[in-house]
Amino acid sequence: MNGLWTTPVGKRAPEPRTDRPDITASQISDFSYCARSWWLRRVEGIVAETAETAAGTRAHGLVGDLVAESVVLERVVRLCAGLLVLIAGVIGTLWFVR
Amino acid sequence: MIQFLTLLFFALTALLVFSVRQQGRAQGAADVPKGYRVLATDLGRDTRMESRGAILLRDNEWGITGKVDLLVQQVATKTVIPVEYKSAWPGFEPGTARPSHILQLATALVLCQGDSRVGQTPPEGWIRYIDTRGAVVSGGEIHVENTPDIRERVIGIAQRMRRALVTGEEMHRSHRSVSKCQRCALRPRCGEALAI
Repeated sequence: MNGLWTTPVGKRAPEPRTDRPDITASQISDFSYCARSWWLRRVEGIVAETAETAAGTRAHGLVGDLVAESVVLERVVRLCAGLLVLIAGVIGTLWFVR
Repeated sequence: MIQFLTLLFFALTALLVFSVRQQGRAQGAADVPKGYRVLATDLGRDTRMESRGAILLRDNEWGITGKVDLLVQQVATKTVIPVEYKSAWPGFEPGTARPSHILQLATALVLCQGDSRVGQTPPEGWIRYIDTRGAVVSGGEIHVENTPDIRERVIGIAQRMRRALVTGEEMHRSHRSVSKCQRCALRPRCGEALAI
């Protein structure tokens, strides 16, 4: 379990099978666009990037920054809430003991 | 001691209020709907973020893997929704999605069902078309229903691809669209590109 991946606790990733090649989601997208473009990338190993794909990668990064900020702040909120409950409990106990 | 703790309590309360506001703003800016939380993401130019947040989903039954751009969960129902981000093209028509993008999202739906860590069949997935600033364009969020048909298409394509990998069969251009060839980064190396 790592990072943002928070549920379900304790479950491990399935072990990869070695008896056949995996097919990835992006390859399926490539193949659906054009079988030859997939074949050139996957089998011939041709790497090609256009200005359009580079701009797309940058835009993905910008969205990722916003998502990351949102997740970090959510954690801060949870932490603060937890600490507040704890401190309130300690204060209450101290008052009671007095 | 009590005075110190009381001061700390109020300081934390202030921080909590501030953080809740900021988090609401950030969640809105990231287009994570209210009532949803982020489970995993493959977005981001910061590789540390990727290593922290990305998850490689795997369906061992069909031998399919993939990272989903964003995996959100509806807090109330625990329903998981995969989200794929794609660049909106010039002349993007609101409410439309490219077939290859729908297939990639459909693969994410298959993966959610097949990976025991998610272990549920999402009712739908979302494609979000974004501009160069990363903002979702008008009419750019497309909800794709998870149906048996779309699942069978994904599995059928995966099997076809694997067969080609195993046999070494060369794949040829599978369309007659000039605009697809115009957009394709592999056009100079293709040898089968349509005359432009």
